[in-house]
Amino acid sequence: MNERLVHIQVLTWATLVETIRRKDLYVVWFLAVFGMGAGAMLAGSGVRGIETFLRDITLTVVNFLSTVICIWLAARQIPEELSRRTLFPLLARPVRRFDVLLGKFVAVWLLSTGALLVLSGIAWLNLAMFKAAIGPIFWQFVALRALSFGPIAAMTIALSLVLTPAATVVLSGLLTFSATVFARSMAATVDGLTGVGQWAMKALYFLLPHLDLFDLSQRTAFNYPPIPAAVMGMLALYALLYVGIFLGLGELRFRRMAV
Amino acid sequence: MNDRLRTRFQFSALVGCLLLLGASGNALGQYVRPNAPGDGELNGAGWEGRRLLAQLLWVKTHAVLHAGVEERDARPGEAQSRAGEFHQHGGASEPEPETAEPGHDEHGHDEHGEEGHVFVIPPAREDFRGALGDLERAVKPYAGTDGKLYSKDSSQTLPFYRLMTWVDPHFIQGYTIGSTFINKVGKETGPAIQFLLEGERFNPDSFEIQTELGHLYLVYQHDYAAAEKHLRRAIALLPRRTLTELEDETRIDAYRWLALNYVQWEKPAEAVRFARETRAQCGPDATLDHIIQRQGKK
Repeated sequence: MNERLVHIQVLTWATLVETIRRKDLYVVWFLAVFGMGAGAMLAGSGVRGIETFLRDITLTVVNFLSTVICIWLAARQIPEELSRRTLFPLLARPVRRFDVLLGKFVAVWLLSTGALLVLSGIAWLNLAMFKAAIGPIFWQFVALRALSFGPIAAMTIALSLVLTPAATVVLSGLLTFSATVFARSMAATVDGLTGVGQWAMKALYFLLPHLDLFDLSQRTAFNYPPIPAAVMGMLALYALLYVGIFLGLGELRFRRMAV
Repeated sequence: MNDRLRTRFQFSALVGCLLLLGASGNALGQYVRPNAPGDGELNGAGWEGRRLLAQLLWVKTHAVLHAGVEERDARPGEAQSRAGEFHQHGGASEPEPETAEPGHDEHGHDEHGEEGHVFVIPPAREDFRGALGDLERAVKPYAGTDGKLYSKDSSQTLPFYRLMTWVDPHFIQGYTIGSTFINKVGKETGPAIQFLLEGERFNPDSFEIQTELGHLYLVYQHDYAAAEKHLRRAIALLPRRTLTELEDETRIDAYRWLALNYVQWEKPAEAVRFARETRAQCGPDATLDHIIQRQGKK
């Protein structure tokens, strides 16, 4: 068990170092400064009631860029190892395929969370600069976003084992960014159906991950009070459940994959 | 110059350019904002995109006005079952100064259409999703158990009106409703009038903007001559085609405000004459009847 933990730790560290070396994250942080700065331009024009607008824009930038980082990092891990032919020598060692998958997943989650923390820091400074600071719910927003990277990264890694990298990015992006639209459309369809059709649609609704539940940006933009700790706990369990499901599905595919 | 130094120089130059661009944002706005183009220049994909963006911002103001709570049209039966969700906009019930006649419906806030709307997220009793529904109600903006919204600060919509009219300066509702929120019971009538005058510059044929200008001059500035000028112009600009429900409300408002303007201006004979003319032309109206009855006695 200890040996496996060492393997996962080494794989995670190698992935972290490789990603930091590529400097992709700096570009995203730079984009964040530019995006938030553009939104803040309106504050300089003397328009009253700018606080909600600024918070909305800033949190949207944080949400979007951090999720893009997570999907982008997750989508390229295994395909790059395959294309560079580095996966075969890796698996020639006494390392389980699931451990490789888990190491990659942990690295992607850590990197995405690190990038999120930097983006959140930039957002906090930007909002404080324009006197649109937010209450403690902001940290819940950050925590839930970090939690959401679990299912998103696991789902993307699993998809990258069956799809091309481009298709993985597009599909994961659609499922993540359109989560609210999908969920609401399905819920509305359930109301319009009867019998077996309704039952099937309900089953589909409960099967799919509802990633929009991890998005507190709107409550944060309007400075609502923090949400109860029990809700945070339930969402953490929900995230863990889908991480397990997606990594399990990924492992099933990866085990049979020719490297 | 070695490679590293050159890269640093290029990076610094790029950052400098971006900072310059950011600092001069307001000045650049003068160039980004279009001059009033003729109708022929309003075609094309660029303008379609701007119209779409303005519409999106318009929809967004609705959510902002309700502290982020999203609404949709009620389906048959929902208006009764979810009656607890109905509420008023922030400021919708704000009292008008003495000029407003009893029973007159201040149009500004109602144009988003409150009637027959329910929350997108259903209440627990109508939600098949159980715990997932509870989670959504906890993490998304939602009304309290009493049906009231967390915050209703209508001034937070102002940047959206500002942006939507920059994006599409021919979005007339952006100007008329935006000015109502800027004014907010006479608190900032000057900037509200400036906003409408900007709208007038881009939309010289808009009777809606003229009506709103007349309303502000009459009710909040007590500048009856200016009010008369704009309300007369609004009536002259009324289109001959069939008006939409919203346009028809504004048309009636233009007549009512002009009659009320003469009352406030202490020109009772003019008020009665105009009210009678309008009544003969447009049919019975409670406000005009009231003016004829009260001013006629004077």
